Amino acid sequence: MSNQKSSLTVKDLVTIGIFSALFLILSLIGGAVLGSNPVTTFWMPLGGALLPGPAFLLLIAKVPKHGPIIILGIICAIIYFATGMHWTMPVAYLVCGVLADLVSSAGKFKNVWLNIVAYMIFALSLVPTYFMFFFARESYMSYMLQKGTDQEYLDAMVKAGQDWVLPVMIIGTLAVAFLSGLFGKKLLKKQFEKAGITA
Amino acid sequence: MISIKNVNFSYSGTGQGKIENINLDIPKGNCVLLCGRSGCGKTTITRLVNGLIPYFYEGNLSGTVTVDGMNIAETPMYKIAEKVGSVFQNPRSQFFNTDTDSEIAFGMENMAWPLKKMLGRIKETTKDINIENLCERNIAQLSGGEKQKVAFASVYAMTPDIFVLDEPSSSLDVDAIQELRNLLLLLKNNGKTILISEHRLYFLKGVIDKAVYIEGGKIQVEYTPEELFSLPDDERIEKGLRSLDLIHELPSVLGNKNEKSCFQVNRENIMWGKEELLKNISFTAAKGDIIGVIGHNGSGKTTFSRTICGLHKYHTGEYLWNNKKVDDKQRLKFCYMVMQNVSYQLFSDTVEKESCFGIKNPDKDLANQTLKELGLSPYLTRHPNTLSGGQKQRLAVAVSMICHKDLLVFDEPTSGLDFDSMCQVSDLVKKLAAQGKVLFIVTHDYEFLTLTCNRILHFDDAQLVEDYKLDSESVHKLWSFFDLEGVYK
Amino acid sequence: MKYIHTDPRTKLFVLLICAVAITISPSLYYEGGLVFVILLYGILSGKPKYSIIMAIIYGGLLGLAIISNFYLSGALRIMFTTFSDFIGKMFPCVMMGGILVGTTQASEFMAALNHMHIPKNVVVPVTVMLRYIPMIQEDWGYIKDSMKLRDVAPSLKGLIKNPSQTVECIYVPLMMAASKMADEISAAAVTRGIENPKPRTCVKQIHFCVQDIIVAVVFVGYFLTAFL
Repeated sequence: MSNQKSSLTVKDLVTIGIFSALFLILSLIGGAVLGSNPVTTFWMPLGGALLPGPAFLLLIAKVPKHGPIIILGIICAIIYFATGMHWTMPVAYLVCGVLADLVSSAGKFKNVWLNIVAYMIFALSLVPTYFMFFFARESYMSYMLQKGTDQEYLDAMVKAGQDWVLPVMIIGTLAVAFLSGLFGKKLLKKQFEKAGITA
Repeated sequence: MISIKNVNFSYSGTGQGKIENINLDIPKGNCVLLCGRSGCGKTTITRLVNGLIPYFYEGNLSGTVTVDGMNIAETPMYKIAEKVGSVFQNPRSQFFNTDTDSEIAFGMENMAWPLKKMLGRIKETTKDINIENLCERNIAQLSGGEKQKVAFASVYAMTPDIFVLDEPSSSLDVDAIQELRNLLLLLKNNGKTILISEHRLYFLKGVIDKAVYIEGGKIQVEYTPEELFSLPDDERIEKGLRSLDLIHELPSVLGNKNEKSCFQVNRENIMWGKEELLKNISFTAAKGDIIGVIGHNGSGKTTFSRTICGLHKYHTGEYLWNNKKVDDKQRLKFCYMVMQNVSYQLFSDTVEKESCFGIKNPDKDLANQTLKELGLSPYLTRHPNTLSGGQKQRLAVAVSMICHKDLLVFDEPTSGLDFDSMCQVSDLVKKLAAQGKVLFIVTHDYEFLTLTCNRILHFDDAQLVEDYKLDSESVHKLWSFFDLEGVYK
Repeated sequence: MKYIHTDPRTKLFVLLICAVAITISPSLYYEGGLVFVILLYGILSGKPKYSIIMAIIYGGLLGLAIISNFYLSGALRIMFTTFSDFIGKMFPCVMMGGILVGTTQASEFMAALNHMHIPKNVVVPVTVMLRYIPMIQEDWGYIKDSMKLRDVAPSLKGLIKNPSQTVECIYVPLMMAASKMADEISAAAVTRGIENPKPRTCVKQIHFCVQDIIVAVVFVGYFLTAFL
């Protein structure tokens, strides 16, 4: 197993495990600060994207192969499914993991800018949960309010919910992920490569 | 059983730890010690035997290593694993699972043993190693010594014929080292072949059959145990070897001329959660004091030192510095702790920047002067992470000097250090003391204590059991703490 | 009282049922009923305190949604109702997830993954991850201490005053430690034969028994009432 360069070695798998732990903790810290508060709950994906950028980039730098990002996605999916997150979140992690792996592989996993784009895609995994919520919203409201659904309210909701919140959430998440990635790039160059811990 | 023929190896990338023309034969049932300075290549030799070279560490390898008829370079790692068990230095990084039972079974699971056989073997293993009390525990909550025993058990359970141990005592306390010795004797009684690389030698008396001294990647001398343990002190020191018999190491620091106390601790109670970890601690210290802090595992030494530095909030006592009351925040300003794993304390990308990191108006001249004094000038542009353990430690100390810290706590400064590095740390500590700083040394290292400290604080049973000046009279108290007159006599 | 013990696979199955049930949920009452069933399961599995507290919070959220719908207006109302019904939609699964996490040991969870024939490329990283999380907490303790000693405050204030320095102080030692740990853990794993191609056995055994069937039937039964 360790002799084939392209397949994952035990060391790669262990590295993936350790950096997945870091990734999860870092994204939970950012996400939990915003997600557990009524005013900012919709900005949770932004918080989740804020911290783990450097961990993501260092993982690719240490294991520049097909696999680590997909496995990271699978691990996030398993953990978020087992902790009872809405099913769209695990599914999104699986899909985004594969997409991010493809983007990163386009640069043979060595192109930092493509890796940052891969991270931005991966960070979007937190968004679809809200997406689904907004789409299912109308039918949801109708049973929520039972008789006499307040039309004015629904209008306001549609306006507030669909028109700008979603695009802002997506663009915001991408922007925050980009910044986190930039910071990761800086750390990689300044610290980790110099310290000799990248592959 | 193990035969190493004409082996040369150098790691790709670095010149560290390379070996030249190694020839070594170890018959079945023998226990062989590899000793020598840090970086001499003894760890490299252990890696030849357990297959980590060439599978895990890349480099240039020539010559042949045969273990129990297998040519290591041509045998897959998992087959070697069935014959050769390995125990490493760092207890924190050796386990794979979250609970002890899965960990002990880990190797057997890999070998695909059937359930019944595994359960039987777990029972035997825990009984032999005397860790029945550790079954079904969360490994993260075990002490370093307990983790090391579980790692040992996991290897032992696989019933390999050969055991390779790479500095297994490095981060163990006195009691755990004693247990390690018992485990080695158990292996010997079972006819296992043992290859052990170590800095601490005293506990191997009566265990090893041969000692191999390595210098600069070459085997210099092979000793019989009698020869090794009767080496005259000057020859041993010249070879950079640690003490062979602790009881002969007598206190070398003769008191502190300065008797005027500048640091006072009054009626200190330290809490850990709801439990009182230490009760009613009072003592004073003078400038230039080098105070050894000893105590068994869980006696609260580390929390005590964190409290001194102002890092642990939950306490009720009072602290005086130059007769003025100082609270936690004020103590943080003049206290500093050099941690056991100094890597956590280094943040910058070069040694030079590290020395001034976080200081508002750094004194560049002082910084350069200090780095020079501590022998770090050649490494100014290196990344701190690429330094050796001893160098990292000196860098952390340099930082404390540049920040003008007056009270320093060292937490296990000698774990994993060879004789030369230990002496360097000791000299450094004495130099800091001569500059009028107050020093606390938390350690399990008897040799280092006698070499460095002039006073001992002994914590146990949630209190300060004893506080004494260390001299040739009081040293017997240390003997009884380290049980030197018992097992090793 | 002896608590019922269910196989982790059953819990995962129940979680799946809850997720589907929430998605097709025909009414608020149906969701409330689901929370009630989870509450019962939580109490019987040995997590009564957690389950009851969660159920009360859920009740509170429902109340909040209804009250704010009647008494608030405009942006505030939208904010509160959105928040409460968003959380409401998430709640049953989160509550069940909490029970799963609270009643399942890491080793049992790993055994479940093994028994479900998840490939090694996933099982190994997940095992390492679960084992490493407590260690991040330990590392963070050391890093916090050393930052304080260097007068770089590991706090929100420090973060605002000097963001890049503060963040670097956290990331650098954390990642260096992680990287070293990865090397050492892999060396330990390789020398204990993890690369053996034989299918691994598992010392932790898990079995389905009567209570698993009962729990599964109850949840599936409740799920089916959605179609009545």
